Amino acid sequence: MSQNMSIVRLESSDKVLFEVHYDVIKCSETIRKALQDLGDEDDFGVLPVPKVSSQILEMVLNWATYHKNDIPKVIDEDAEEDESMEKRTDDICAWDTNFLNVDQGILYEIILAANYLNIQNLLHTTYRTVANMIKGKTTEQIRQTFSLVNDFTPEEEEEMRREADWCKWD
Amino acid sequence: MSCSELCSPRYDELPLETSADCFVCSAFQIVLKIFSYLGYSDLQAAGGTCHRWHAALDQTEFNMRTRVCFSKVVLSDQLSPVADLLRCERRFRHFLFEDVTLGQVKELMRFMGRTAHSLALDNVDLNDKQFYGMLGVLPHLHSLSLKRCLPLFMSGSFLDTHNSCPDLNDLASNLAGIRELTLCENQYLTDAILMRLTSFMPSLEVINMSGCHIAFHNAIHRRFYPGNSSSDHVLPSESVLTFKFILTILNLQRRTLRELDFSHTLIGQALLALSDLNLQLQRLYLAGCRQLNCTTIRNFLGTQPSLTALDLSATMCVSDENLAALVQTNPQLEHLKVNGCLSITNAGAVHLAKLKRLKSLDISNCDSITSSGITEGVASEENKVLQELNVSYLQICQECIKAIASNLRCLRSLHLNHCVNGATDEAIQSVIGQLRWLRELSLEHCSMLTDAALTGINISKLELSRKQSCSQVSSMDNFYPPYSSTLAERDSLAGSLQSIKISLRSKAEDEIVRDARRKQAMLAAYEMNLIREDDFEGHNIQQLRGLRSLNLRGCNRISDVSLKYGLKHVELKRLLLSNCQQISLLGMEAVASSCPSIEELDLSDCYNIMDKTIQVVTAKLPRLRALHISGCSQLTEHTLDAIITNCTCLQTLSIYRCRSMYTDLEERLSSVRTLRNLNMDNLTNIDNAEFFRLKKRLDY
Repeated sequence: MSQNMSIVRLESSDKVLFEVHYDVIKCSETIRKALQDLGDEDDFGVLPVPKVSSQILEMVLNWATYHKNDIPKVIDEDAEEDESMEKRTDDICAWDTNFLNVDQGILYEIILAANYLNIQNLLHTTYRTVANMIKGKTTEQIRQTFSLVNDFTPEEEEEMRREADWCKWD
Repeated sequence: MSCSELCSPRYDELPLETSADCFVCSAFQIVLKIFSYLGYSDLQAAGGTCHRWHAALDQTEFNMRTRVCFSKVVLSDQLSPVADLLRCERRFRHFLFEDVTLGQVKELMRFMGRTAHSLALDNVDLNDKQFYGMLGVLPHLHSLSLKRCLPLFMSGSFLDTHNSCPDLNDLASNLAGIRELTLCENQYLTDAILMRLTSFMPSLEVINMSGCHIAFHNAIHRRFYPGNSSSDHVLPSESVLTFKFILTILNLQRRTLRELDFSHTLIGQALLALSDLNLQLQRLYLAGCRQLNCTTIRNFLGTQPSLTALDLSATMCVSDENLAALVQTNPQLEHLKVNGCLSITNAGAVHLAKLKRLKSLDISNCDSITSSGITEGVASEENKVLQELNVSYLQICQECIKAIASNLRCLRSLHLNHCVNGATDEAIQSVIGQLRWLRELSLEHCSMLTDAALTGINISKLELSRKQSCSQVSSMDNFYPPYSSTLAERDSLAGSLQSIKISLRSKAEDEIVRDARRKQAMLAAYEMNLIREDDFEGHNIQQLRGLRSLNLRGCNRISDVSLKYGLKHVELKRLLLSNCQQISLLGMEAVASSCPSIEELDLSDCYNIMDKTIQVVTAKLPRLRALHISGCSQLTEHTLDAIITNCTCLQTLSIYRCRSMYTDLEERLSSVRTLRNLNMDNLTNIDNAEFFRLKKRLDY
C-alpha cells in the first residue's frame, strides 16, 4: 500500500466527513479489507460508512485514536471457549470505562458500529461493559436497567423459580 | 468507485434504532455475545427478564453446562420436582441424583433419554431392574457415575444374562457409547459384575474406582481363583473384586484409556503391573493410597510421559528424589497435588520450578517445606503459567508470600490458610497489590491480619487522629478491669492458685483490650466519618475486582472497617467470616449492599451478629444458598423469621448452638421449600410430628 493512503476519509450516515490516519482506523477489519480491495488506486475517494452516525463515528474514532498503539491482541474465539471461566469482565481499562460511561442508547449504537466496522477489541469491551451492568442484579433490577418488559405469565415465572431449585452449574 | 462491499453488515437482522429501550429488541446475536460473559447465577437472573432473553439461554453453553441436580427428594413422575422438569421446554445434558429415592420414573427417564449425556447417581437406592429400565432409554450417554449405589450390586446378579436381564441388546447399544465410568465406593462390586458392565463399553477413556474395596494381595486372588489363574478362560469371581482381574479389564481398554482413579484404595506395588499394559495415561489419581512406596510410584511415573494431572495427596510415596525424577519423566504435568506428603523437604520442592506447564499446585500440609522450598522453587522466577497455588499450613515467612506475589502474577487462586507467621499485613498488601487476577483468596486463621492488610488503611495514623479529636476519655477505656502490668503488682496478687490464674489470664486480656481499643479507634473514626481517602495509603482488596471467594475465617482482628471499605465485589459468591468476632451490623450491612452475588456466607461464632444483621443480610442477598450462623448466640426466632421471609433459594443452613432459635424450628423451616441441609444440635423432643416430616424431606 502506498503512502498516500495514510489518510483515510470516512463519511458518516449524516454525510459528515472525517479524515483519519490509517494507523487509527486499521483496527476496523471492514475498512482495512475495503482499502485492500481498492488497492493502490490514486483516486482515493471517500469511504461511506452509511450505518454509523457522525456522533457515534466520532466516538469510535476517539476510541481508535486512544488505542492505536495497543499491541494487537489476537482474540482467539476458540481459545476463549475453552476457558469459558476466564471470560473476565473486570479488566476494562479506566479510559474505556469512562469512555463507555454513556447512556444506553449510545452504548448500543457503539456496539452496532463496532460490529459493523468489525473492531473486535471495541466489541469485546462493549460486551463486557453490558455484562457488568447485569452482574449481581436481580431479575427485576435487570429489567429496570434495560427497560425490559416482563412478558411471562405468573405460571411461567413459577416454573422458572422451581427450575432454579434443581439446576446447577459445576 | 463503488464501496458497496463496505455496506454489508455482519448480522443481517441488526436493527438500527436509537431509542433508549433498544436492548428490548436488540439483536439476538448481541444478547448471545453478552451472555457469554456471564456466569450461572447472572444468566439465570437475566434469562428471567423476558421471553427473548430467556430464549437466548438455550443458545449459550448455559444448557450444555447446566446440570439437573435432584438432591434429597423422592423422585416420581407425578410429583414435583420431576413433574416440573417434564413440563420444562429446555433440554438438559447432565443429570445428578444424590440421596434420592426413586418412585415411578418412566416418564422422567424417557425425558432424559432424549438429551442426557451424563448421569451420576450418588447414594441412590435402586435395584438392577430399575437400572436396566433407566439405561435402556438413555441412548446418548457418554458418562456414567454410580457412586455408593450399594443395593445395585448387592444381589450379584447385575447384568447376568441368565436370570435377570431380558433386553440386553438395547442396553448394550446404549452402554457402548460410554467413555467415562465412575464406580466410587461400591463395596459390593465384584470381578464378575465389573466384567459384565465394562464388556458393553468398548472404548472407555476414564475409569474411576476410588474407594472401592479392591483386593490387591495375590493370596486373596488365589483363594478365589484356585488352580491355574494364568488361564485366560477363567470365570470372573462373583464374590470378590481383585486387582488382578481389574488389570484384565484395563488391558482390554488400554487403547482408549486416558484417566485412572484408584484413590483411597490399598493399591501398592500392584501399580507396577499397569506399566506392562502400555497405557498412555493423561490423568492419574492416587490420593490417600498409603500403601504406595517411593520406588513403585517412581517406576510407574517413568512409563507415563504424557501425564498432565497427578494426585498423590496424603500418600507416603513422594520423596525429594521422586520429585526430582518426576520433573524429568513427566514434563507435561499441569496439575499436581502432593498435599500432606510429609517426606517432601525443600530439597525436593525446589525441583517443582522445572515443571513449566504447571497450572495448579497443592503442597499444603507438607510440613517439611519452608520458605526456601518455595522461594527457590515454584516462586523463584516470574511464572505466567501457574494459576492455582495452595501452601496452606506451611511454615512460611512474610518474604516468601511476597515472592509468591511478585513472581506468580497470573495466580487465580491462592490458599494461605494457617500461614500464621508469614501472612502479615505487609505480605497480604503485596498479594493484593500484585495478584490482580485472583478469583479465590483463602486466609483462614491468618490471625495477625488487621484491617490494614485488606484496605491499606494506616491504623496508627487513625489512632493518632482519634486521640486528637476526642480528648476526653471514652467510657470504653474503663470498661475492662485494670490490668496489672508491673511485677510488683502481680506479686501482690500472688499467693493463691486463683491469683495465678488471674495473672495468666490478664496477659491474654491485655491483647483483647488492645484489640478492643484499636477497634474502638477505627469505629469511632468510622462513625464520625473520620476515615478519609488519604488514610488509605496501601492497596485495597477491592482492586481484586474479579474476586469470587474470600476466606477470612478466624482472622479475628478484621473489623467492620474491612467490610465497609474493602469488600466491594460484584462477583463475590463465597464469603467466610466465621470467628471474626469484631464484625457487626455496620460491616455486614455494607457487605450486603456492595456484594450482591453472595451465595454462601459463613458468620459462625461471630458473637456480635444480631437478628437485625441477619434481617439486613437476608433481605439484600437474594442469591443466598448457604448460610452458616452456628454459635451466634444472640440470634433469636426473629432471625428465623427473616430467613423464612427472605431466603428464596436457601439450601443449607447451619445453626449449631443457636438455642434461642430452636422453638418450633422444624415446623417453621418446613416452609423453606428449597432447604436440603440443616445442620443443628440434636433435638431432644423428637415426639414432634413435624420434625419427622421435615426429617423426611431433608434426609428422606
